[in-house]
Amino acid sequence: MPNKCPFCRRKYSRSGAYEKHLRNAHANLDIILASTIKYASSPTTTDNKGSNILPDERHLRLDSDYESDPDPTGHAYGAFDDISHESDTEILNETASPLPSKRMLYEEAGPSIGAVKGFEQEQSYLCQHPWFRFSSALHFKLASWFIEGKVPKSRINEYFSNGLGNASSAGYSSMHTVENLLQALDPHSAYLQWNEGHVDDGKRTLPFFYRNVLDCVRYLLRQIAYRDDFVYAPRREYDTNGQRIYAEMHTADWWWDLQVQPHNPFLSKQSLTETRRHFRKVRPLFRS
Amino acid sequence: MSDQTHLTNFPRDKKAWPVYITLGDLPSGRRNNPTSMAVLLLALLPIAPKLSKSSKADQHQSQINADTLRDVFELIFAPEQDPAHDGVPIDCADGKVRRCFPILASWIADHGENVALHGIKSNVCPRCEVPAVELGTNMKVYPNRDYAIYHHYDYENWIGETDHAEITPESLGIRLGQNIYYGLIRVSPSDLHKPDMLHTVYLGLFKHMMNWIQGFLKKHGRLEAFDEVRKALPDYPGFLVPKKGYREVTQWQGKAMRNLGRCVLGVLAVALRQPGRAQLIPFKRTLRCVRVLVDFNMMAQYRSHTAETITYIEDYLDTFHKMKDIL
Repeated sequence: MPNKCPFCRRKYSRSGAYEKHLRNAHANLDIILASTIKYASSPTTTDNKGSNILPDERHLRLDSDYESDPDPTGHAYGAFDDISHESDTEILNETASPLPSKRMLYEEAGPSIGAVKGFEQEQSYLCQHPWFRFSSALHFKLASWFIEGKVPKSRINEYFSNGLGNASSAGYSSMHTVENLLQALDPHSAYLQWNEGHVDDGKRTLPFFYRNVLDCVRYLLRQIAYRDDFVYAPRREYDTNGQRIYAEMHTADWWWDLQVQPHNPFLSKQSLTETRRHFRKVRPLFRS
Repeated sequence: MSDQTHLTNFPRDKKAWPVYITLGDLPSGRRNNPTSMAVLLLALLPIAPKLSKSSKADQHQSQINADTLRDVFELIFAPEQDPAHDGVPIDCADGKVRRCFPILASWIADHGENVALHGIKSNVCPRCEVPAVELGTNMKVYPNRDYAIYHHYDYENWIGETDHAEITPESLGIRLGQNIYYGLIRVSPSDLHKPDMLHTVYLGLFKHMMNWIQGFLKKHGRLEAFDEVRKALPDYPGFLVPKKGYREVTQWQGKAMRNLGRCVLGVLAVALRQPGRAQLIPFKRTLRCVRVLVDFNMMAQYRSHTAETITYIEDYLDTFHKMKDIL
């Protein structure tokens, strides 16, 4: 349930976004300022983060009190975004992780061993034809509006059959064709094939469904949408006092340790197969 | 991660058991954002019908089911085993090919599911060898479970040449050969279990604490005051005003518990105001106990930690365990 800000007409459902709004939009109010200062000088790790982000943002938005004001930074306030889906996380830090003062990279980890075939062509083709599969931006936006607005299939079909949209120029005239186009939009959908298996527990046969694990990994790694986010190598980060920062998975020890032991003798493949075979034989002992 | 769930859209006792997969290479903010769709459905597992524990035939059947589950996971993980050992070239999003080692790093599930997947008894820890009687004491750190050694000991016990006759699967609370992760390349089964806010803190520690608090308040006749103060709280974005008293809610969800965690200290402080002479010390200790757990909860949510914050967390937890006898 969204709540109203007491100082303006904005509505917020998440406390993080609300606080941010208070700090940014109502920074000139004394009471808020006091809490902001307190926030910025909170102890330990947030210290870095708080003091880094607060001043410039507050400075930028000091005088935008009203809803109608255009956002000077070009950022959305996140108000509508905030209302549309309620996240389960307690405090969603929109900002990046605290800036470490020193970084230690794992040398030689995650090197490239070649270029993806046809990647350049694919990219340049996409740049030239950004709405590929759809004839124009308008028709792409119409289709995405249908999908995001959760318009029922029958209504979409009605939309075209009643002549509301120009089917011949859009390139699609029914939900069916839109779906086909959307499926074709994902060039890597071949990775996500389903397999069916059956288990027999002695009394009945139950079906189950699974995907190829490796193909799922390939699919995710290939997504251009995550291009700037991927981390390919572990690292160690330190704050200004020289203390190690543990934040994301790549800054912790597990990855680093695993990277240094390319051949763990304990887990060599051969001994593993043997132990498995061995215990297959022994296992029935514990059954009775 | 996996989560067995009831399908409410289907009649009767239909259940689904989905298994999801995502990548650790993505930063958590991106990975956990529902709109970035970084979590894929990996499998829909078969669900064996419910069995009673009493009859021998059913016990045998549950053994077979556990073995079947192991085989199903073996099939699912099979394509990933060789690449985890030797690496495999994979096309990456930036147009480069890299040699990748897809390794299972963690598994998020509730305890009931961990029991099934790790092949352990329901009253033991999937991670370390803590005995069932010492659960909830936080006194001693026990070594992580090492299934390879258990198998080795068991083999020695079986052939009779052993120094470890007292270490049996029963004494450890495990069912040997039923851990679905044992044998996966570069995976240590006990490391896969990761504590999470929902199951460990909100539905674990907080729930226990609330039950104790209820008993404590009842003893001191402050139960009504507690519920009244809770209902009288003003609303705030991200905080829902509770409409029911604590005991009237039958099923506590993570969200409701989180709500409660935000206000419990203040509410308790008000409910315990003006203590009598004899109540002064217990009330103070109770507030301190609740405070350290709330502090622990807050610190645990930090997105990044240093050695310093980790000592804080440990201190809070230690203090909580020392103080909890008051409740």
